[in-house]
Amino acid sequence: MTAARLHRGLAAGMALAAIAAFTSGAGLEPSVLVAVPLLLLSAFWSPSPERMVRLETPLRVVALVLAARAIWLAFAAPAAVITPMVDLLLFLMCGEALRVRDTTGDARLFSLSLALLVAGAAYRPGPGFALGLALFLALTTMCLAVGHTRRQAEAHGRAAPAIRTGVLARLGMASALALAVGVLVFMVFPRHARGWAGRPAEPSRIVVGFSDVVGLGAHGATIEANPAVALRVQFPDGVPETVADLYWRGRSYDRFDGIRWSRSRLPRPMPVRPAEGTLVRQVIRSVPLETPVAFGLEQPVRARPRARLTLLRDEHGDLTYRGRVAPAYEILSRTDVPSADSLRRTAHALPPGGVHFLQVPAVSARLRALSDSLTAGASNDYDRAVAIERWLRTTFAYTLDLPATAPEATLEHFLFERREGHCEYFSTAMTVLLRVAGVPARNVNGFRGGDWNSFGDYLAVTQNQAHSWVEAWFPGAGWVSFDPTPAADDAGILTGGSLGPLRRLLDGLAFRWGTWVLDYDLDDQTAILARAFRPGEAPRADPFGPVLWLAAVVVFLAGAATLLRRPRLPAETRAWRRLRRAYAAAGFVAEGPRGLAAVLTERNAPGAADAVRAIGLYLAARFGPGDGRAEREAMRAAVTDALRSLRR
Amino acid sequence: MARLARRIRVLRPGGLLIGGTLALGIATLNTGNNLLYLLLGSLLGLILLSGVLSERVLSAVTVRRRTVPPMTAGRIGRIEYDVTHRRRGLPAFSLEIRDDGWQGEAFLPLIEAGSTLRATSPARAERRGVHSLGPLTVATSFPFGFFRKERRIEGMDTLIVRPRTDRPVRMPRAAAGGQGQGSSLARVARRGTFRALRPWRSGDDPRDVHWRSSARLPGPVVREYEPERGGTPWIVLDTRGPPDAAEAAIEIAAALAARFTAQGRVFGFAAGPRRLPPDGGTGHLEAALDHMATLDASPLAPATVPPAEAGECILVAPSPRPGDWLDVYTP
Repeated sequence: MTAARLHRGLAAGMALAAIAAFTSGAGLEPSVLVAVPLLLLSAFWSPSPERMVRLETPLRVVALVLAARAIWLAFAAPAAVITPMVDLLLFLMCGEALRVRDTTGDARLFSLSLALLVAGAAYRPGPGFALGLALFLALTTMCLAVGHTRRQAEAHGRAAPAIRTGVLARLGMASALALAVGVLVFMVFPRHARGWAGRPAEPSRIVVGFSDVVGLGAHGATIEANPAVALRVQFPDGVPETVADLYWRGRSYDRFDGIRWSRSRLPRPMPVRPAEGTLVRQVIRSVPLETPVAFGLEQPVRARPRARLTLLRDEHGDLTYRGRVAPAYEILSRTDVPSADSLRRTAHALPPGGVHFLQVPAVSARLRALSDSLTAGASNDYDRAVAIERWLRTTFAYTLDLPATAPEATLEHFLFERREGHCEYFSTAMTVLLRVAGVPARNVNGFRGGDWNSFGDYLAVTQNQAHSWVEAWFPGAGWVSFDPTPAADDAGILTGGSLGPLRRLLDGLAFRWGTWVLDYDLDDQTAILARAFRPGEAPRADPFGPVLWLAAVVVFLAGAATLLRRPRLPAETRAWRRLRRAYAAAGFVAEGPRGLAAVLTERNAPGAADAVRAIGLYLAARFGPGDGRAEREAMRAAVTDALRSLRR
Repeated sequence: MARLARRIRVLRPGGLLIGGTLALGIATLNTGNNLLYLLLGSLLGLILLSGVLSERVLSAVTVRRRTVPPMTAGRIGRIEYDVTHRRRGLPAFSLEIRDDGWQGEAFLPLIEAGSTLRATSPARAERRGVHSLGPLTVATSFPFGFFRKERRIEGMDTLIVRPRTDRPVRMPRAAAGGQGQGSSLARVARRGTFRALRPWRSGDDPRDVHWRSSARLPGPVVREYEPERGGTPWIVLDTRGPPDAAEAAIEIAAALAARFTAQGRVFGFAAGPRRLPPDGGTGHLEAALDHMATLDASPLAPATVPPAEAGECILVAPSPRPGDWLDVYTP
């Protein structure tokens, strides 16, 4: 392969690696789908100089149009400016790659590719970004080195030297140094500043009912079979026994108008239970939500945000956050539930803002009669709640199929006609029935369950595990949860099927990437420093796991071995040495090739004719004119024949 | 511990890279985007990698200046170097070798590990003499062309630069006799046999002008004579005088010697205390030129004693000297 063709291929590869890194976050934009084939084409073909001259004008016009579009959008819709900028970048990259390779083009292509990587960093890309970056650095090192060698040779009026594949590979491996410095800077540079140019984390499309108003019936449409992970939870002080069946509380709703749940302004904030009893600490990383809700096990008694985030507790006792990053926070929850007996003994009383929790929409007489009949035998609020919960769980069915018409979407249709629905119908029904019976209650949205990921030691809560349940007020104990939804076939998407382990592995990788790269912050840096200066403290779990560490060691050793490897001898020299060793072992020793040829002929050694012919070919390949390829091939055959005769 | 003597110059792409890295650094600090920290570090890593690879190239090679052949003043000569890559692993790329204080540089696009290549640098000296070749500079901008790193290699050699031989001179007179003495017939006899007419050159005797032909042609022409084969002339070079005039005298003597050699004639050479007995051929000419290359050209230069009768000697000097010379050349 000529140096020019090699250079062109490497330049296209460099740009494609940058695109791969970019798409790991931004996805396959239409402009990417156009750019990739053009770049692949540029690796093998480039227009003639005359054709390129004719193409220059239209290319510039299109580039100007794209630039004008980007500038206009920068003012008109600043949040959307990145897409037209990327379109412009990709167009310029294709134009540059297709341009006749004039040996200075690689620097411009390098700059454009780097700009694309910078743009890609704004999208919270996945671990593919790291792979793309590593590939980009390797190809950049090779491309710029080959390009520079070509430029220098041309500047001195010399032909560009051919660069062997092994040398090229070694240059690529040397790029590990650049990556290592990148990782070092990444790890030690203090995370402190924030400013105007930050791009907020992309909100998830999850709409599981965490906004201020949640419509009954719209819930299931958005959660059905959505396996995307919503929360990843670690338990620094130990994993609870029932880790796969925990309730991750998000937001509560007090006002129901018959169709929608909403939130009232309460006159006083809800009291927080004291931090005693059974406490469970959770480190939670959530995808960015449209409504900034923070989750935690019931009942959260303390909350601490990670760097660059602010946590707030509203008057309902729900947690929200403020910040432009993916939310990560630590919650301390009191998970012990008062005993049934103690709850039965509590006097009936209202919580702060109590009337809000007894509000019911205009309900029919049969609904009131239903509530009365269900709670008739109960003498306290707890027994009333248990009776309603049991009735719903045992006599109704769970389904995610939505009602076909609006009248069928009402609570009464659910209770008296359809008798099947999803969690939101059950929780709404129980809340209304409790309120009709005079028990203060509210509807709560969150997640239930999760899939334990042993690759990363965390609980993955997916969006299809969104759930609604009920909280009832008991003086002294606070809000106590009840779940009237019957069991459903809710096998975890991550654990299900033959691809389960692979899914868990990939999600574990994404979790580590998010934890240790995307959300690596001042807290992590100070924690690492603290561990370094307090060696007695038990070390935290290895962030990347033994497998990744092993991979890193293997890559390092391979790189070192490649850089330090003794250069491979030319093929003809290796064949000559093999021949010499074989005859030396048989007692035919002489100084140099000609000497050995003389000795073999003189002593009529086995295979002497072939050996002498091989020696002649060796001398011709090694010291003769030309590239010696034909001689090398012939010599190999002659050596084989000679050694075969010798062995006989 | 050996001190690493390196000089680093930032080239234009390197300047752009540093500027881009600074800009990215500002954006990184401003946004706090973790991946930008990674990219920033990777760019710094590329700069470091550039330094490591170029150092690997420079420290892997040894450069030895070959025995330098004499050069001629005003002409492009060459300086040769043997460059050896004495490490294993990566080849050395894009090596530029330059003698400090000299124009021109040798270039090797690639040297495989463990091999030796010869590199040649064009060189040109304007003045004759013995020149010193001091330290060498080996440089490379490998791998990316961001920076040019130079390493000095100590070394001391001498380079002999011979005087130029292309100065136009007239042919000497054929027979003995002082300038402007005797009858015209005798002068003609001393000049030898008429050979041809040629354009007039500075220093020609005006009496040799062929006026009839000069009137027909655009410029003056003079008669040129074939010297008599009988005598062996000695070129007697006297360099005592003002340096510029003495240098010019040396160039005249060199041109005269070259002309004799080109005509296949034998001549002797004397300058200062040294004499080269009459001989012919290129070797004799080179010996004379080497001698002229090392001559002192100043009022304090040693006097030249004529090795033969003045009538057999052609005097070349900054200014005329008394004597019955075969011919006299002055600048």
